[in-house]
Amino acid sequence: MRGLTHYISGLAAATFFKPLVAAVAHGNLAILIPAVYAYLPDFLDFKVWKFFEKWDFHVDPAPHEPGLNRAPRRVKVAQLDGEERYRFQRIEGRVSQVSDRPGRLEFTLTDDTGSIRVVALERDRDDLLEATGGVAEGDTVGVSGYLDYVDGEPVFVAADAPHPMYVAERVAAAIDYAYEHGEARVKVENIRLIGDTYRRYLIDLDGDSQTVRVVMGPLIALGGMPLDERPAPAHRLVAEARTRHRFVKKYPKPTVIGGFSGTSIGFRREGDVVEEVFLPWHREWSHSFTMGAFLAALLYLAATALGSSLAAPLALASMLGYWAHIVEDQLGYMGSNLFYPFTRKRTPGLRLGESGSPVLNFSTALLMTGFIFANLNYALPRPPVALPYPQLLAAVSAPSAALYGYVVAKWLRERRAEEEAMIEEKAVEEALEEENEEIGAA
Amino acid sequence: MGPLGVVVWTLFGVLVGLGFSWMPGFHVYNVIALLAVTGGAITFIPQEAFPFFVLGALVSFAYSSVISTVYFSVADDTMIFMLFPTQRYLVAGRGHEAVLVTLLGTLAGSVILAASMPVMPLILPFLRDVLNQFITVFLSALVVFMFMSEWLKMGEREENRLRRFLKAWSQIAGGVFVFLASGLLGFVVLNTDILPSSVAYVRLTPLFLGFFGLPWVLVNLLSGLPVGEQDTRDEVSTDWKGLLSGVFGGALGGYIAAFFPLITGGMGALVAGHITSQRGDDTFMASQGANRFIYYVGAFLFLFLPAASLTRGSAAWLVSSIYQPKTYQEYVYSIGALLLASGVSFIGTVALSKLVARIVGRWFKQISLAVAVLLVAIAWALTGPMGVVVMLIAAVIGASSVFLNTRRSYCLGVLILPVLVSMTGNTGVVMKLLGLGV
Repeated sequence: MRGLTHYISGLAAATFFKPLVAAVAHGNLAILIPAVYAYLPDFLDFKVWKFFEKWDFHVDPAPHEPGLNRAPRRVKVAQLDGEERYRFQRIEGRVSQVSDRPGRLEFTLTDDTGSIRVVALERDRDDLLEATGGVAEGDTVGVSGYLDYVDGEPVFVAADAPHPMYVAERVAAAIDYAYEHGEARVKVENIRLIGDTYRRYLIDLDGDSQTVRVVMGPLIALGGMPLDERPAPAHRLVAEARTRHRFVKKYPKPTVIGGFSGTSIGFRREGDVVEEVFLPWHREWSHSFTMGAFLAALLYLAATALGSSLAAPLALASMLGYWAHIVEDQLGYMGSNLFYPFTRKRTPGLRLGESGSPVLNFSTALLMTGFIFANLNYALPRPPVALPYPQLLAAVSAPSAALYGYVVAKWLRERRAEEEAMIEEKAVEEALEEENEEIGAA
Repeated sequence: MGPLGVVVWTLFGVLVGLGFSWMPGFHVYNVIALLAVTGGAITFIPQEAFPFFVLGALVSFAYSSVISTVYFSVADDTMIFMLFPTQRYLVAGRGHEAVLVTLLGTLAGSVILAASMPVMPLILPFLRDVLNQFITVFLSALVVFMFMSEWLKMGEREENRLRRFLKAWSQIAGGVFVFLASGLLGFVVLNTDILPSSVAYVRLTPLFLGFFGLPWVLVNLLSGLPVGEQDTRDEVSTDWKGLLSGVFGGALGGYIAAFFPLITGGMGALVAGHITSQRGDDTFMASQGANRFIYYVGAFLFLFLPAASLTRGSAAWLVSSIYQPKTYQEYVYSIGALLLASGVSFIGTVALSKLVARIVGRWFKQISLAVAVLLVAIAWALTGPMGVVVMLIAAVIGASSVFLNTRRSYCLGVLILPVLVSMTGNTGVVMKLLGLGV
């Protein structure tokens, strides 16, 4: 769930402890510590651990221009070697040997380090001509695109994105590496372009055909709004790379690289197959009940050492806040490694909704806010709301209960649909099997 | 005062709001302060009409200020920083569309606020009586969360792990710097006589002009970005689901900000955005529209609640010192005035947007320069030469939030820090630490 939902849950946990609430009147804001603890699992992952992750493969299809924080990077012709194939770059130089016919523009571009043949196909030709105002002998132009080879000869292909094969080949290599070495981590960078725009792309791991498929998507704004929905020309739209070893995809959706940042994908060999571990640095040790208990114990020791009379309720409330985070996350898909270091893997979530589900987040935050209100009301010498505590708790919980009911009903419906789809699939398989038997018999 | 008076003074307020609020950095509070305190408006506006005049001005401000947000908050030419959704629309020549999407949110916010007013007297007293005792907790909790939830944009591509970590955390350090620097400036301005006590009413004005107005105008002037031709057709490309989601989140954030003192619309939006898990540029803009409306107007309307009056926001404080609405009739009138002002402001803002969209490309730098001069003039007129100095210091801190790639809302430390220090009884200690106290 979203950070604030967890944070509110921690604050709600704290309000169940009267000494913490009473301390507020004396200017003591220790009540905030359980809220901090409730956010801590994500804070540890996203603000600390993520940056210390070690990658075996760093896949950056569009390196940034130094100092500008965006692609494409300007390179010299001599820098375009095999390692740079398919990467989004920009070269500048003088034009010669121009050949232009419908759907194909070709010329040689020369800078102070060498020459390369440039090819612009289909709409990339039109875009290049529009951007440069025409390409003629002797002109100096800048061209964005990627290096490729035609009949063993290097060619610079004009484009507004890298070729998806750059990513597909490296992810496939990582899967094979994981099979051979037990584990591999891949960091896949996003594609940030001028004007705070991004090129979206999608990585689909198809275990059945042992294929990594990468699809280049539209130009988008940071929030995901498409800015140019023209599909990439066919020669650089989709790329597929096969792996030598079998793999299975665990996270039920393709990985989409959009605006905010790249992502990290882990691969781990289990028996004779490689399993995908989505965001391997996330929801591991930090999202375990054991870590919650450990950090609460540390807090207790620190508070006791400082002579605080609130050490016990503070530690207990903080542990509950931390645990609330783990329980809330368990409602989603990804799950957490619940008893690290005693467990090695994440326990899959209940799949009631995605972590960003507005309904789940809102209903949980509403419930916790209700708890806070009810508890603070009863902490006052003369509670403004005169309802008995259980009735008030029931009243503040009712809207959230209704929303949770909606979520569960939706979940049940989806489950039923999934089961029906599975029955249908089995029926088709059975029919095909029978048909094969008949063919075999014939 | 009869219904006709309400209509006339509300519309007068709308006109004043529409006339000034589209200018960047020109906050309607300044206009009200100018009119009421220095312009002697209270001598010709009947006392009991003053709340309706201010209501009209606030409503039109909530609508028309979107114009300055969309058309005059342009990033620098290299655009290595993150852009707001409205800026992206402007760069793409869709500034007017951004205005329309935001206005749809504002319009929805108006309807929600008007519809919720009848139930407010039933809920607000309880919320106020319980939660007011713990304001320090909520305020502190929000500040802590702002820092903890900062999205670390930098560092991912550094060479080694330690450098990645340090680069990313430099952003949080930047946020802490902006918060503390703005808090310190706020503390000094609010607790010393650096600005004369005769201008106590408008002491915050140079600070806010400096933090939130001047940096963007200066960036506009320094940037070489040509704002391209704008499409002025009344068409939006969005979907109802996204809009409704944005309006819901924005309204929630607006109510939070309107209810809790010192929590601004931006902070309320941060809270609501997280709770309702919003994504998408159009959703964000609609959310901002609803949020700002309920924050500004909702906070002021609490003043009209007969049995549960709450004074929230500078406008409410100013008005309550002149006339405090007391009757149910005034309360009902206020809802009608709100709807009337909303309708007129919506139409007026759409027309203004088209006008600005046509001239912004051609006169962008000149308009920015004129606004910069105007902001300095306002600060000078209201608070004297020292006010201009304060404004310039605030502008440096405000601009640093842009260059440090951190949240601009950390500048709200200007209010939050002094208030937290005061609420926890530490004003004297801090004064002594700064060598200012006795």
